Amino acid sequence: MSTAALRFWLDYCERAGATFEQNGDQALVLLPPELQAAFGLPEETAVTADPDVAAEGGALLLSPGHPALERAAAAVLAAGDAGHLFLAWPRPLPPSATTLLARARERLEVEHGRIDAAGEALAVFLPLVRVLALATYAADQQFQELEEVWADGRTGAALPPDAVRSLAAAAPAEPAGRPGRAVPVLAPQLEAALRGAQAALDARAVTRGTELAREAQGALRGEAERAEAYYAELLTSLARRRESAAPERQPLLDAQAAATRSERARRLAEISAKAQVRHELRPVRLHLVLVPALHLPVDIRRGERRYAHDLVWLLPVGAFAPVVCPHCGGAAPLVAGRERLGCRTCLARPISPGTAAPPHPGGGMRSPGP
Amino acid sequence: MSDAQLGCVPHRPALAVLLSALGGGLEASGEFQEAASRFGVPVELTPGAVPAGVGPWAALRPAAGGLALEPALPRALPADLAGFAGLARAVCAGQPVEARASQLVDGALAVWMRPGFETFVSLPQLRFQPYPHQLRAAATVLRRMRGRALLADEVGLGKTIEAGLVLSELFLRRLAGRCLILVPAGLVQQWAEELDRKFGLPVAVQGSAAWERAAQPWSAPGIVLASLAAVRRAPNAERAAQAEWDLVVIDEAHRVKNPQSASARLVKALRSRYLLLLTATPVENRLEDLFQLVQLVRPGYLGTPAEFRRRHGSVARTDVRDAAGLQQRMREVMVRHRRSEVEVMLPRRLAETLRVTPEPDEAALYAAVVAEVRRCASGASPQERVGLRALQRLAGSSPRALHGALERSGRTALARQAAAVSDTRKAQVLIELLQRHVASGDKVAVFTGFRDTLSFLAERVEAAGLAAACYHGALSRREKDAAIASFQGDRPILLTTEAAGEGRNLQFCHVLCNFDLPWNPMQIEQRLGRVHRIGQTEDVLVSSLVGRGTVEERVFSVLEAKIHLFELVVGELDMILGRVEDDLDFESFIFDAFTASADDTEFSRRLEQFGDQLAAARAQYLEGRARNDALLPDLTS
Repeated sequence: MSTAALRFWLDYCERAGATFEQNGDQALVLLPPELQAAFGLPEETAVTADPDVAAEGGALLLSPGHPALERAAAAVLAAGDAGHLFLAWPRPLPPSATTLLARARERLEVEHGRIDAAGEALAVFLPLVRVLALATYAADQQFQELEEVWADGRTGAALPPDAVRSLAAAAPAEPAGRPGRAVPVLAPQLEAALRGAQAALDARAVTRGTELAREAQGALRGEAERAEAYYAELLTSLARRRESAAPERQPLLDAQAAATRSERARRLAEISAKAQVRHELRPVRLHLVLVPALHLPVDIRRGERRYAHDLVWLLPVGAFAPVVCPHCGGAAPLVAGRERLGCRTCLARPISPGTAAPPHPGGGMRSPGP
Repeated sequence: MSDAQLGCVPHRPALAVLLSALGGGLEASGEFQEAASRFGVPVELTPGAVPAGVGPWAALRPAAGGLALEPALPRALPADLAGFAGLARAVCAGQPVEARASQLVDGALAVWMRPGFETFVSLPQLRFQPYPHQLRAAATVLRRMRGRALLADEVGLGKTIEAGLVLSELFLRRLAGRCLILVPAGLVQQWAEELDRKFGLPVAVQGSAAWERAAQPWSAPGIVLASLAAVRRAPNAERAAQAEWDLVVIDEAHRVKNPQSASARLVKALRSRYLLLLTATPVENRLEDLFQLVQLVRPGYLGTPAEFRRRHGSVARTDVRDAAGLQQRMREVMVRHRRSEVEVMLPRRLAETLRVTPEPDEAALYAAVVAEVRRCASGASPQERVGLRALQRLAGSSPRALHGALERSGRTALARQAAAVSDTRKAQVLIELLQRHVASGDKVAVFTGFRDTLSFLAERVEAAGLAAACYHGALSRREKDAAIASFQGDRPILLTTEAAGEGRNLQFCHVLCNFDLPWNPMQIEQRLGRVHRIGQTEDVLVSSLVGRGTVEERVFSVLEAKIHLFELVVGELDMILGRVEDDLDFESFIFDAFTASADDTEFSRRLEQFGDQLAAARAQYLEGRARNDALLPDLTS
């Protein structure tokens, strides 16, 4: 086992009240009663990751599969890693309002619409959810991989990989030391955010599952061929035996042949079912990351019509947060329609006041301009 | 808008902004101030100001251990987001991210995602080459199922090997220092040999002389092998249950499916970190059989019995409710391979029975022995009955073998009669058979149950000008190796006792001859297993010589007619006999029936009744096999 795994176990024990002393290749751990019970270990336990040290000195070898290690990992994963976190305000000066507006016009596509500033930019914190999930892919084989998604905490729109890289590299704010002042925070919508994150994770898992299924195709073809050959031989042998069998045994052999044919059909169906990779996602980390940002209210104009919208510039990333359709929350490009602003799909639907979805954050109808 | 205006926050009435003062402890707000001031207009935010308008905003307020958002995040999540429930609770409670907790989760993920066993450390120590499906199964049990699993391969695919791989891997990695293997009584010896010969693992056999000598055999480190029947009896059951085991292996685990049975109660009482249940038919009659086995491997995994019945029903038929769901769940606790999917293709068994009419002197000798055995059997002590049984079996083998035993038992007249029979018709038929095979270049392994018969056959074969190697238990290991080597080399014939029936692989030969037949079909199966096994590439011909009018002929007829002995696949016989009776002592049963019968007609009638039981057991086995096949998915890994 790697020393990293031993290090993990010692850290876990220490957090749970144990103390330990490193002594060369082994550590002497004093476990509190709860951990003694959980691991089935005595109060004083010498542990090592080195098989030779374990063999010579009698220290407990914490090697892969050891239940003490697995129980610690299971307990930590069950508790997970959750909380909120502020990113530090970036040192470089933020873009000017003119630049921000120019970038909005350059980067954000709004069909039939022109983006105009509708107010001053406001420094804010934008909540993002950062979700890390353990993805288990199971078919013929089983794999476990990690998938991570950062999504807008208001809408659930997933951030693109470049943005995620910048955010992951951004420094968190210094720990508390002096009293702060006031902070405006764009209100998170946790349910929407988690649903968006989950959808993004699922989409990735489906893509990965398809890749894995493609990789397994060759082996499955071989397996299907083997099964075909096996049953063909079995049926030939039964036919041969039937030819020379006494009349009273022939019905028995016929029944065996019928059972063999139905078993063959089942087997082949099962083999083809193996190509379908199932996945299971288990979230183990949920961080609400509050990212320094600039909030810019804009009007999207189509002729005389104006549709209010808010844009958020993520300062550590240097890009806008994903713009979503105010009706469905989808990430499709916006269209300034004759009656409303939305994605092409939503605009194609007739307006039905009774069934209209509540507007998503960032968008709404502004009173018509002059 | 000018650059100078940027950052100026005159709180447009159109924006709903809640600017809440922090009670302290948030560096970010200070930084926010500082940065805002750097790009133009200093920000002055009024605590509590709540302009009306569009766009939801939130406030942060101090909370126990961190900060809380206001309005608070919803604490209840809909069912489709249930996976986030625990994590979301922590976020809603305003808990800050703790770097050390994050590191711990990263460490836990590394451990969890790499459960180890990427390589088998035991491979170099193995004395055989496992098949890929066996290695895959062991890896799945160790990695995915974390050492607790149902090994449910079809018969003959090597469940024992798979369990042995898991055992030796855990043993060598010091993850399992105390192991208990419980098997049917008839398989104890076979398991002991496999673990020794194939895995090089030392085993303490419960009840053996070494076991009896040990001071505290139940608590000593190592691997304990015992019969389930012996351990479920007092005081063994209590001792086994009191011991702390690292690994428990239960062979033929369908015997523990009934939770009320003594066997099941014993297994439930055993405490063990790892548990392997081996059975080819986890489902017998009721779907709950499966539930009970899984309950042992992973208690609670399939819910309560009532929940299980509600979800899937109780009858093991192909129309089980939510069969797909059950199959999917079973993938996490069960490994099952089918013959059709593995790279193991066994050739056919072709059987011929040569019924030989004895010469008059042979027939007279046999009849005299039968009369003597029947006469002495009534009122004989158990020990005497063992001697009489041996005598009867020797009579079916050869006069040479019979002669020594008769002399030793003081039956001098009969001994003289045996000595007078210098040749037998069966031996003559054997020589003709050997000459035919040798002429066509075949290698032939001839099995007999007795050393004296072996000597007799060696003389006859030599006299016929045929070259044979001899193999028996009294040879040293080197002599045994030399005998097998010469058979593999230039000698076309191997004359051997049961000693070669255990543990020697003779796949290079594909003709087997039973010169005499054990009464117990498992012994016939073991002989056959030396030749008809994984690695054999040609169809195997089994020629059995049976003297007309003998006990062997009657037993053999029943086995052929009722269970089609030679059509069975390796391992199926076990399954059938196990259904007749747990730990059935086949040989004792035959002898009891023989001695309890006044004459051969009555003996035949008794055997016929027993044959019906065997036939019913075979039908039951086949039904069960079909049921399992339809219900359980193949779970390669």
